[in-house]
Amino acid sequence: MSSGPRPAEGVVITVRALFEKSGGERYGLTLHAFEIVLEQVAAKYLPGASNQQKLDLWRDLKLEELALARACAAGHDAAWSAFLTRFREKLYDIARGITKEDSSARDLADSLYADLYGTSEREGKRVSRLNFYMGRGSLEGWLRTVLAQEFVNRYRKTKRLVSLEEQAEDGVQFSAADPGPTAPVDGRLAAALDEALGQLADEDRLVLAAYYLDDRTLTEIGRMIGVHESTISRRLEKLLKGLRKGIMAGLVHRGMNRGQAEEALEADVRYLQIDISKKLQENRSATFQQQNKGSS
Amino acid sequence: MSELSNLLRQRLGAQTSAENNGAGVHPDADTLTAYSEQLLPRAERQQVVKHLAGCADCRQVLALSQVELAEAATQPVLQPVPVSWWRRVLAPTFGVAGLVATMAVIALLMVQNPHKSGPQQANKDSVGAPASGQQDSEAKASAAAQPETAANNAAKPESTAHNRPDSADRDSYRATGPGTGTSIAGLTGPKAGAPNRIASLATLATPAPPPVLAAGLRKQDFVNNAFFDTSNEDLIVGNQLPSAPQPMKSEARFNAATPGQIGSFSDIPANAVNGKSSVAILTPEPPKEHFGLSWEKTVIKGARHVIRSPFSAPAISSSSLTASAMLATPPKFSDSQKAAESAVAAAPAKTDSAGFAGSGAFSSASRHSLSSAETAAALWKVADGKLLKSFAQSAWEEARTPAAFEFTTVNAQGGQVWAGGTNAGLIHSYDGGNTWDLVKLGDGASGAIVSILFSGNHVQVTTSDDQSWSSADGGKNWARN
Repeated sequence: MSSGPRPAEGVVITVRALFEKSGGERYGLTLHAFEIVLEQVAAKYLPGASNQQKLDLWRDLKLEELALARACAAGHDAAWSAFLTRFREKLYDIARGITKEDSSARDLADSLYADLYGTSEREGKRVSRLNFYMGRGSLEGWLRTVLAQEFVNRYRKTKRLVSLEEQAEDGVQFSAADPGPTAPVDGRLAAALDEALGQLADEDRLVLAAYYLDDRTLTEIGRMIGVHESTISRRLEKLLKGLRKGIMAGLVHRGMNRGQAEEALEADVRYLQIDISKKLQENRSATFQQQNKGSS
Repeated sequence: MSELSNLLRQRLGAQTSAENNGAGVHPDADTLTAYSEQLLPRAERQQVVKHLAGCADCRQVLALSQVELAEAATQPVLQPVPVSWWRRVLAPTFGVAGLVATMAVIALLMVQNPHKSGPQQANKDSVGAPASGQQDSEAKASAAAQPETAANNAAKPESTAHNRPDSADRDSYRATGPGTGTSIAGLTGPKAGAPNRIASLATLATPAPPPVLAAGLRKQDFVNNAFFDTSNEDLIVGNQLPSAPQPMKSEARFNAATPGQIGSFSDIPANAVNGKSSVAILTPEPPKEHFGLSWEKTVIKGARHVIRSPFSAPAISSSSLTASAMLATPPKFSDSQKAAESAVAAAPAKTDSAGFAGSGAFSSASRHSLSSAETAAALWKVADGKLLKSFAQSAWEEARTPAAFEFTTVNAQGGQVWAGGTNAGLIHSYDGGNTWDLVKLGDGASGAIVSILFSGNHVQVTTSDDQSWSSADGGKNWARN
């Protein structure tokens, strides 16, 4: 079972079967090269995993697209022509969907193109960004994500203009921009809300953050979570009710009576108005929703 | 609850920034993609969600990378922009012409009906429709009996019998002759006779008459010539007026119209195919209620259909077809790409296309994919513990299997089909499911089969008890890994 120097027979069989399924041969990929790719994927996502775990991971990969991407990266012509046929126009369409504007979309797509083809050289070898595609999601989805990352990177306020993939490769992960000091609220109210928020599930906090911080529409959030927008709408409503209840309970717990708690909630909010708009602007510029603040 | 949302914004912002500083590693593009395509294992998905909740950057990347479903959905509607442009620019002139053209089509019908109605109609209707191809002497005699109305209406073609009467005029006197103004026939009569006049009007209004108009008129002429050709011998020679028509029962006319005849007009709107023709103007809402005639509706519907098809007929992609027609359980993902994921294993006819099956047909039971290229081949899937098979677009039917166990997964390629079920049950077919071999895994095999991989004689099977069995000889001997 353990991965020794000689892989188990099951692994050999599987790798061969997976290679056949991937159709990598069409693109000029060899079984050996494909095996290396698979091992690379396993090493990245399941370091030190057993053969069984690896097989499970590999089975779920988008093998055909993985083979295509890696064959492109290796510079096989057949792969490139297949890639161009399938994704050339799509890339521009996706970029247009992201930038909502034609010329910057072209710009964005072209720069990714260059990356995909591999204009940057490392140790004399052309490095294609397609080498970073691991086949966990669809290739088109990956291109979407990479374009979106590129876009966010490009318009990020900070100095970081290196692509995410390159950073990932160098082991340097970006951290979020410092949102600056937050305005202090009434200690008890903030604490009560924080407590209530802390008890929420991660997905609920994701919904709240997307809705209140990012100003995403219900539809957008629905797509991010993978549920229908009406579900999001109901969930938001429920969340707010629950939070309010939680805050009230928290305030009462902190020594207020119910009337005081109600008052605190409303009074503090009126008092908070200015802080909040400031806060919102910080968030906006941090996420580059304001186009005019973007600088490259 | 607005007061809460403001507070919420603030605290969320504070929290997420605090979290972010400790959040560390962002998920890479692959993981994010797999997340949004719902391909991540549960545990990993939870990690990503946790990160997303605290990371505005990744949330933005995720939101931006989503497929624009709304745009995709409206695209078929947005695409026929040329039509609306034409309409906007040309509506003042061609709008009228379009109406005229529609009328011309209707008039054409009216003219053609009697011609096509044939002798039976004339026989059935004892009064004898003058429009019917066979105008016998009886009809002429009775026509002579009512000279007044006939003479009035037929005054124009009086010139000579050698001179073929103008078709439209002929039509008009025939239609109005009966003088049954209240009947439906009387209503339609003037319209039927109108095309020539209206056509000339239209010519005035539009310097360049649209092709459809010309086509319609030509057609009408042709029809009427044909009518006169057949009835020419019945016309009275000399200086006599042409025979006056008989009053006819309205039912006779309308019975004569069968939807089949209308089909001959479908060639008129065909002009629109090149995308330039002004036939597009035919699209104004048809006056459905005008005559209450079923066949009119048919015509106009047909015309609209032909015109609209080049622009606005939504392209039905084969994938969506297969998604709706072939999946027993409707896909829960809105994205068509995701919709391809279902418990369906495709058996491609050619190994060449097997590559397209790649991602899915090889994965676990819940994730066999169906690529549209393979829809022609036999399809296999497992639903409710039953092994189902389908050819092309036919309905799913339960496969005849040697053992009735609860199936959990199936994998097929060409004629080779492997299906597994609970209690390590496994069957194999070389011939697309006609005959089956019951396959016995090695001793100690347990759990339901969750995945089957094979390539030629190499087979590998995984069970829900985390056992992995492989065989190098098509399932005769098994070794546990």
